[in-house]
Amino acid sequence: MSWLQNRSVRLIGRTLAQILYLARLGITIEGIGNNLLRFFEVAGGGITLFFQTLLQLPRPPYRLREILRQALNVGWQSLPLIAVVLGFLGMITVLELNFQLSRVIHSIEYVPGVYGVVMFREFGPTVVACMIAAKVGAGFTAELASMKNTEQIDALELLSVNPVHYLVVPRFVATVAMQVALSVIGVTMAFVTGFLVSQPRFNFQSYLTAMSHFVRVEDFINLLSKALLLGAVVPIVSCYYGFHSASGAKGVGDATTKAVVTSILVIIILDFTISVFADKLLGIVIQWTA
Amino acid sequence: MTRFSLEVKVGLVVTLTVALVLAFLFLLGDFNPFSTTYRLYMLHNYVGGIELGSPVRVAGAKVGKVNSIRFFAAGHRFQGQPVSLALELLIDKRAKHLIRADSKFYINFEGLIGGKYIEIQPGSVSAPELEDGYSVRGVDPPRLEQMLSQGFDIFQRLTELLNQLGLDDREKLKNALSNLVEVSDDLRAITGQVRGNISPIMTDARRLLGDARPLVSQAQVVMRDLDNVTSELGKIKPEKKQEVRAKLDQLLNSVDSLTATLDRLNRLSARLEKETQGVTAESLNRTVREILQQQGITVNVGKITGKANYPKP
Repeated sequence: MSWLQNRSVRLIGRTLAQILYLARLGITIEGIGNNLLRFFEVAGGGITLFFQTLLQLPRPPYRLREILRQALNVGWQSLPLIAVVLGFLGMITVLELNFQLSRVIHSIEYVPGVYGVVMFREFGPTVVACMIAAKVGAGFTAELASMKNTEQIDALELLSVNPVHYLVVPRFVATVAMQVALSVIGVTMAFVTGFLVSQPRFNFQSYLTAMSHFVRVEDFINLLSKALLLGAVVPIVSCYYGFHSASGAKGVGDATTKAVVTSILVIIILDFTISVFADKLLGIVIQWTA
Repeated sequence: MTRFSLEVKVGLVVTLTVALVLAFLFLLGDFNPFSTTYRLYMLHNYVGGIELGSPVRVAGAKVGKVNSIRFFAAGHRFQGQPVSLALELLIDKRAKHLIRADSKFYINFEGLIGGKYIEIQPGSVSAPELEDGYSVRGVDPPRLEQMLSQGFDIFQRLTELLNQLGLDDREKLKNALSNLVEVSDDLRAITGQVRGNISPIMTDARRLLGDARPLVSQAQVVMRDLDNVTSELGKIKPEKKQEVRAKLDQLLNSVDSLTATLDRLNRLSARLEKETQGVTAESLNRTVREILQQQGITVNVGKITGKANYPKP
C-alpha cells in the first residue's frame, strides 16, 4: 500500500512540475508575443506616419519659416558636434588603419583609399544619423510628448489643423536636408583630420591621389543616398514616440529614451539593408542610364 | 540682423554643402567644368577586370576613365580579328596630341591588390592623331589564372617525371647538369675571346666598307652606262639588229683570236722569262762578244751604245 502511495505522490509531483514548466513557458511565450506585437505596432505606426508625412508633404501651406527654424535646430546647432565627432572618428580610423595595414600588408600606401571608402560608404552617413538621433531626435520626442501632455495636439485637431502636417512635415524636410548637408560636411571634416594624422607619409596631393584610386563617384552617390534615407528615420521615429508617449514626466522621459534607442536600431538595420542592396540597385541604375 | 540670422545660417550650411558636393565630384574625376573630353573606343576579347570608372593613363598620367562597356554580338570582327566588347574611354583633350594611330593600348595592373587601368603609350609624331569616336584594337592582358593553371600542370608533370627517375637516371641527370655547367663555362670563355677579337674585325669591316664605297660608285657609273647602252640598243630597228648581231659575232671571234694571241704571247713571255732567268747585262755582253768573235767581228760592245769606236780595218 505504502508502495502504491509513494508511487502516486511521485506521479502527482511530476505532473505538477510539468504543469508549472508549461506555465512558465507560456508566460515566456506570452512575453515574446507581446514584444512582437509591440514591435509590429511600432513598425506599423512608424510606416503609417511616414506615408502620412509623404502625403502631407506637397500640400499647402508650406510653412517655410518653420522648416528654416527646424533646419537651424538640426543643421546649424548640430554642426559643432558633428564636426568634432567626425573629426575625431577620422583620426581614429586613419591611425587604426595605419596600424592594421602596416601589420597585415606591411604598407600604408592604401590607407587613404580604404579610409575614403569606409568614410563615404559607412561612417559618414551612419554616424551622422546616430548623432542626429541622439541630439535632435530626443528633442523632437520631448517637445511633441510635452505638447501631447498639455493637450496642444488635441487643440490642433480641434482647430482642424493636421498635426502631421503642422508638426512632422517641417521636421521631416529639415532633418532630411540637414542630414545630407551634415554628412557631406562631416565627411570633409573627417578627411581633413585624417590627412593631418597621415603626416608626414602623405602630402595633400598624394593623399588625394591615393584616395581616388579606391573611391569612386558611386561611393559618393552611396553617401548621399544613405544620408537621405537615414535622415528620414530620425524625425519619423521621434515624432511617432512623441505622439504616443504616456502622460506625465516619466512618460516623456520613457518616450525620449525609446525614440533614441529605436532610431539608432533602425538606422543600423537600414544601413545594413542598403549596403546589401545598394550596389545592385546602383548597378541597375548605371546600366539603365548608360 | 536677428530677423535674418535664421536664413543666413541655414543658407550658409546649404551653400557649404553644395560647394563640398561639387568639390568631391571634381576630385573624384566625374565633374570638371574646366576641361573638355573626347571619346575613343578600345576593342577587346578579354579585359581582365576593367570596370566602369577605371582610370585611363597616357604615359602614366591619368587623363580619363572608362565611361561604358558595350558587348558585341558573337562573331563580331574588327580589322579581321574577332572582338567581344568595346570600352568607351573619355579622355581629356589636352592629351589628344599624344594619342596617335601607332599608339599602343594596354590594360595594366596597379599592383597585386590594386585596381586595373588602361595605359596608352604615346605614338610617333609622323602618325596621325586619333579623332573623336575612333575605334582601336587594345592589347588583351594575359590571363593570370590560365597561366597559373598551366604552370601548375607543367610543375605536376615535372614532379611525376622526377619521381619516375631511377638512381641511374638521377646520376645521369647529375652528370648532364655538370656537363652543362662546363659547357656554359666554355661558352663564357669563348664569348670573352670573341668579344676581344670582335673589335679589330669591326675595324677591318669598317675599313673595307670605306674602300668599297668608291667601287660602288664606279659600279653605279658602269650600271648607268650599261643602262644607256641597253636603252640605245632598244632603239635599234629589227633589220639592223641582225646586222649588229653579225658584227657582234665577228667581234666575239676577233676577241677569241685576240685572247688566243694573248695566251701565246703570255706563254712566250713566260718562256723568255724562264730562259733569261739569271742573265745579267755583263753575261749578255760577253755572249754577244763571243758570237761576234766567232764570226770574225770585233766590236767594242761596251761602247755600242755610246760613241762609235770601230776597229781599224
